[in-house]
Amino acid sequence: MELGLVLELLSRNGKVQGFFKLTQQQTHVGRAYNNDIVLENQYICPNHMCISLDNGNICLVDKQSINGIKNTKNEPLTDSTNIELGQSFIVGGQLMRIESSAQQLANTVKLTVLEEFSQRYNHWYWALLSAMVFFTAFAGSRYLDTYTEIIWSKFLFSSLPPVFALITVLFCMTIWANLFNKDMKIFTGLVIGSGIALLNLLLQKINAFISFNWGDGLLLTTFSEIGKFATIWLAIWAILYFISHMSFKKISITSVILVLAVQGLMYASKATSDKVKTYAIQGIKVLPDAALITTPEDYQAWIEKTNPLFDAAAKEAIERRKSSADEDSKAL
Amino acid sequence: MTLKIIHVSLIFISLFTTFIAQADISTDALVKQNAEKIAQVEIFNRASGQNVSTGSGFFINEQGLMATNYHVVSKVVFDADIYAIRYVDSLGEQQQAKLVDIDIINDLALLQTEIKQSEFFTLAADVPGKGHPLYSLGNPLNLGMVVTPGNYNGLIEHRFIERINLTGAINPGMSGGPTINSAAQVVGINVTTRGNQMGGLVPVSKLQALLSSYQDLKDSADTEDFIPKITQQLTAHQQALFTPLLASQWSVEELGATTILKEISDVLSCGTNTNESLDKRQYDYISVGCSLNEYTFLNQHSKLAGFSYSFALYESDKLNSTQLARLYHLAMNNKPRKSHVSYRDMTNFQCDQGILSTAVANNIKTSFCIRAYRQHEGLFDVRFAALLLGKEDKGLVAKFSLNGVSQHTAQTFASKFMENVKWN
Repeated sequence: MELGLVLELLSRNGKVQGFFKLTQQQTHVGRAYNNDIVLENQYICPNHMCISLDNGNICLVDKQSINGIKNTKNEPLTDSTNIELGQSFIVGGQLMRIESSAQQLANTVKLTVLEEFSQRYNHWYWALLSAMVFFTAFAGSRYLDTYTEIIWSKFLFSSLPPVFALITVLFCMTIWANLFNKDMKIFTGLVIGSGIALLNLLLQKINAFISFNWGDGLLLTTFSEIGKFATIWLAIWAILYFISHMSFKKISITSVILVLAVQGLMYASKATSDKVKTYAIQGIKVLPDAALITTPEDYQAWIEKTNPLFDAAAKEAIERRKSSADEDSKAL
Repeated sequence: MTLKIIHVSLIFISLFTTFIAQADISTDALVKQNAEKIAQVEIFNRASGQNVSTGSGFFINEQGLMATNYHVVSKVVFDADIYAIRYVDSLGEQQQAKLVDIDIINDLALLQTEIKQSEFFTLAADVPGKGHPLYSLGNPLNLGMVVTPGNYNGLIEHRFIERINLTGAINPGMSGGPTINSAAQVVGINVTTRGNQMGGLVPVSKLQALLSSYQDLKDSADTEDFIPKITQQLTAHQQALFTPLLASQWSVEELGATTILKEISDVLSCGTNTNESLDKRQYDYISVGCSLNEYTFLNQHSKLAGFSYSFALYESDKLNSTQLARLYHLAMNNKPRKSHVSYRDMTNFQCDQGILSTAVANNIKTSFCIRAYRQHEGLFDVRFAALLLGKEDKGLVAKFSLNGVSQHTAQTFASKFMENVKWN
């Protein structure tokens, strides 16, 4: 006989964790196998209660269990209590409710590309492969920056820390995800983490290329700032995706806010610390001749074009002389 | 014969003993005769009355004009509302003094006291001969007036700012005191200790020049704001140093496969360095550098250094072009070092980079950074670095550093510096 009702087992925040169809007038619930619904829960008695359905009424009958049946305020219900459809109650610590099986369900959501990716690459061999690619890229980059004699065992060992750091971050994320009852896909996390680290490495190389050819002017500053913003945003986005139940929209908004907050704090910190640096931060990048694509300027003409530097320094000198908030007066 | 030798020896011993005794007597007499002409100069906090630093000074005319070092009284120049000057006379009494003129380049200052002084030093008109005995007077370590003997050894070499090379001890606190000859005439003014019984003196001619300029402008120069004067002196100094230098022909020499500048002035000290002695080296390195090793005392926080330039050639058949590029990158970027000037006196550096070509070289990666002096309008420090590209297995890094120069000097020096630097 089809009654069209189900008993739903709920999590603390009301999410459905499991359900049982109620097909009889009397449904016995308990830990013993002779019940209609068997629940493996040490706080539920072998024969805990009975759900009785009669002419549309739903009645919960306590079979003299130790922990009884309670409402959502944790108050004990009487031995036999009628409840409404959809009203939640607690049996041995487990939140439950009875719902109609004909209720309106939300539309089925198609798996996103990211979720597909997340499922597909959550295997140890993909994680190992991506970690190895990252390690190789990092070690290769270090090799190209090394101008002293290389002792390979030492060199390779000293190239490992970034990979370990990535794995450590993922373990921390796993612990965090557990707090939110989120199933952390650690192998996919390593794949994506390695990808972001590789992207960062690539951006550094592009920065060096721009700087070598065109100096540290507006082009480099713009590219560098956008690259930095994108990398941090991507990293925060991935962390939130892996450790929380937030929707993509919420993750995107939260990560943008977090990046802006972090960047804002950094700029504010720089702006408030107005102390003069007594050494020149030239930031000169040098690459092999093959990476030179810009046409050389005439040296003498370029020297004449340094006038704005003198003007800017002279202007700063005047401002600092005038400024009452100068370091001198602070020191006094 | 033996008797004759003993006789001659006795005569020599007798003469030597007499000489030593005479020397002792004259040193002692020098102190006694000149005690009233010397004073301890104290800089004190106006609010607390406590001393913050001390030095020495000496009277140079009967109007009570006293000479000392600029660095002894520089606190008063920059913070006249916080600090003031006084001196302790021969009777141990504190008297007021006022700063009336300075020569920052030669580290000299003139103080006007309120008394008429019958006892004062005369300034020597002639330069003593090498090895001539001199006596430095002063108040080292606040221990009372002392005299330390020494010898004149000419001017210190490789300096644009003249300093007398004294083989004799000058200790902290003796700064501003006189060094006199046996006729008690001032030959120089104590200014630096150089360790191991070596001292530096400002030649008395510099004091004579300052005194003369002060007396000429005494009536119009009554000011307490010496900053414009310091700026003017620094500007004139850099012009005197660089104008003939920039007008001269700079000779060149070969460094490996390159042509670089030789020593461009006699006032520079030059040296070379290589990594030849290193085992397992992956590249060969040779550098040649010249510098003007002198400092102008600006204030208690800052000293203005001379200038320097260097060329470093890197070459390797073991490293690939990317690894060599990393080596050049490190050579081009200055490591932050202890600065001779305080952040209080400077602005931030303003930098620009370029890929450039000269008449003799293509593809030079350059960086040009400058900063300004906050108090001294029109003066800048310059840091320049250039990398000569174009060779697979080698690179030349050329650098120069100028301090306290005008924009014109900075740009003209930069133009001239790379004029002849090239691959051979």
